[in-house]
Amino acid sequence: MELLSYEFAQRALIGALLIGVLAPLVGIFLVQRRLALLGDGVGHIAITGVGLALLMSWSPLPAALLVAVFGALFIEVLRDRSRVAADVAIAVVFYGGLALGVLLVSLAPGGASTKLNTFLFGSLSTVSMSDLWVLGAMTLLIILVITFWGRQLFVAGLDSEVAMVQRIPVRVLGVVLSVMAAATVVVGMRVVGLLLVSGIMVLPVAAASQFGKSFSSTLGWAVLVGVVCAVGGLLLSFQVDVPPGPSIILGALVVFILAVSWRLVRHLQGARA
Amino acid sequence: MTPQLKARDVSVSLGGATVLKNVSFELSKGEFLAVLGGNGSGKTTLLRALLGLIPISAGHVDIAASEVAYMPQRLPNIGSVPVSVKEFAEAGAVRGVRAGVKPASVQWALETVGMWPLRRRSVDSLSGGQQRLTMFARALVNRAELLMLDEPSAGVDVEHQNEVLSCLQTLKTQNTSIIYVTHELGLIEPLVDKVLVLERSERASVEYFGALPWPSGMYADVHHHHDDAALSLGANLGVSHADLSPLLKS
Repeated sequence: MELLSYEFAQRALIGALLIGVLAPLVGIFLVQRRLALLGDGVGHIAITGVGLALLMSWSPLPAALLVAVFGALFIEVLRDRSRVAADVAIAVVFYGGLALGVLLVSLAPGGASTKLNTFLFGSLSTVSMSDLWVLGAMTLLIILVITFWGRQLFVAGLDSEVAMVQRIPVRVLGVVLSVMAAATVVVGMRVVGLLLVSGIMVLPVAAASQFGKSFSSTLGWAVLVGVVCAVGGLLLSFQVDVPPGPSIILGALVVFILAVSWRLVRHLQGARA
Repeated sequence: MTPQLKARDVSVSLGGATVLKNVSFELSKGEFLAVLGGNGSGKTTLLRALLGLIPISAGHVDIAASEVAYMPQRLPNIGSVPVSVKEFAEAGAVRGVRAGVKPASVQWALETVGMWPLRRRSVDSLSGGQQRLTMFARALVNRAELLMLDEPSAGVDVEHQNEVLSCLQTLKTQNTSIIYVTHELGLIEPLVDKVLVLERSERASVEYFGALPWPSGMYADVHHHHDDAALSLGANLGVSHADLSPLLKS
């Protein structure tokens, strides 16, 4: 743990903590709407943003954020205003984003492919101080939105028609959720990586859903699982010198398998009794 | 007195097909309207059109009630993340961008339908009837002036059906207007002020709109349908015509 005395490691740790809290907080509203793969689609189109930044020598974070927000809104419009189903809309953005991103990186000056790898699977050394301020501000903003409109987001996700009758701005909230998902993807880009960030949005929620009996208790458990897996996975990656993204996601996967097994055992015990 | 809801020549087309045509009716404060009709006659479509959830192709709807509550026919998708009975009922109290949940109202609504003891249970672990009672509680929780209920007692046992009806009776006396979509009058008949019978037709969708009792010919016809349904159910359960006779109306 000597590594933690280095500033880059401390910055990575703070980044992991932020995404550990934020990802399940946004992810639970996506899972509730059966949009678990939205983060995946947005993560892939953010690769286009990173590719564009590498090609034009821009800062990757704002470029990725801009393109990710565009991609998330595009999915929302396709889903809501056309006859394209949600999973197909996500797939369109997923493949289009990945293809365009790889194309732009291949056109970028030498070394861009190696840099891209750090964005795809996360990196311990790429979280800069300015990144951390941006990530912290986005996290705070999202937490404020959920504090004030969390109940409306919950009702709209539970039953959109009843929510409309109750004059809840369902469409606006859909857009807000899409933008929050895009921002979360970008917050997680540095530590977890664009290809895996959706995992930390979905797996802690899927695990917590196995033992939660209410939406609020599931949310609490999901954030706990998210923080433990993000910080634990990062510390593990310090120890064994692997990218942090895979170790964080594999940690969340282990928790998910344990939760499903626990529920299965309880179900079998209940059936025997 | 201004009606709480006024529908004038409402027509609805879905996917190029006319589902409702020229539906007109009014509902005053404290009135109970039963919307009847066979499968595909447009009962649910009418409710959704009145609520503005689907566009109407002609006519207009005026709703004077300041608060409207809606209980849809189907339970929304809740399997992906657990939702407790209490959270589900609380959802009915959230209006616009204000949170404003009153715990006493939630408790009253759940106690009214007998679901308060199960408030911590996850909704997806309940029986179909209990889920409908929870949906009914959600519609009650904000004490809206106008209630639109789509088959609220389908799948609910007789004991709880009586609780639902007794609650609706109380709300009616407190001036709540109620639209109740159902396949048959059955137990709700004593509460009903007006009946709107829908049918699939090229000319007009309304077969009958008015107060009970029915016009004489139609009354017999409705009872005939009721008896047919009872006899058919009896045959499926192996119950004889003689045993069913106390239930038959004609």
